[in-house]
Amino acid sequence: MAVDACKFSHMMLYSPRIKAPEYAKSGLRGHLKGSSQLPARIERETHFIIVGTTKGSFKSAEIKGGIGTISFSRKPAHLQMPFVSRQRLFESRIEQLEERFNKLVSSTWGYLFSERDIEEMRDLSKGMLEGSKKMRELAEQLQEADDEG
Amino acid sequence: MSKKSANLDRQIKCIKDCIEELKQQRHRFELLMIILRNSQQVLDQWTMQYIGLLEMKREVGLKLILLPQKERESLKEVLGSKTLEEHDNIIDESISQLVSEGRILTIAEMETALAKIDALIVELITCVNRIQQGEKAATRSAKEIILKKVAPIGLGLALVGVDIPSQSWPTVIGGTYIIYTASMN
Repeated sequence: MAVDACKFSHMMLYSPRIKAPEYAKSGLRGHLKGSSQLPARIERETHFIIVGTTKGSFKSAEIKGGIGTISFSRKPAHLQMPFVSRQRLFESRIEQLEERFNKLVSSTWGYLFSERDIEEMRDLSKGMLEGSKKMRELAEQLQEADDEG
Repeated sequence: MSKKSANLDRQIKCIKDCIEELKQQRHRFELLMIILRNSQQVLDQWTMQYIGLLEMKREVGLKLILLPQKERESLKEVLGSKTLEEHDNIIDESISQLVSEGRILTIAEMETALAKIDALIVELITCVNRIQQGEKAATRSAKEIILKKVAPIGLGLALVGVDIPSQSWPTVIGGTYIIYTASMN
């Protein structure tokens, strides 16, 4: 069976007793959009998700994140196709994408800003934090003075 | 000096201090914009990619922004008595708005926010003058400006401040968006 779920631990054997996750094409499109927007394209992988069941068969969505395609098909239930729950798959993919994004930011940060810029940003951020704290304290003092008056 | 007059002086001092602090914060924000402007193209790309991720998070009902523990502690210290969870919701709402609009916050918009902060400073100075001329309503106006506009801007600035050293670009976007929306309201 050509099923490549992201992690084995996220896979479950299909059973008609398991309630199928609700059909949400827009969610799948969002998943694809997010995947394809990353500059470093994700390796070609395929995911099958159960999106609906009928007597003796189930409808599945095939997502190829790397090349950005989505297709739907109907499969007989006896195939016992392993499937990943939509929620689990998305959460796992989001984690992966987020990790990649953070790596991208940290690897380019040093190229993007000079040492001097980084130093200056550190000082500015320290000042912003201290300033915000002072602003909050002043707002509280003003509130107190107003309450007393 | 009567108790009433001492209290009024205390309020005027608070407002004046707040104006001074806001001026300094505005200056810091402007300097940051200057640094960021030079790298706008790359930052826009980062932002667009991150918005794609946030769309997915929203789709499956995940929290949009999760601050690391160290940043949460720093922010907790700044925000004081208010619970961080409450602010988490403000951050999430702001980011959610940006994601639903499917767009990025441009440097031009951040500059608009700077202009609005300038307008707030002028408004507060006018309030101080009015208070000194004996206008009671001016104290209430100043208080409203500080609590409803200046304080949220402070939250945005704190977020930006807390995340730049840890290179958390998404929360920089969140912070600047809060500054922008708070100043535009």
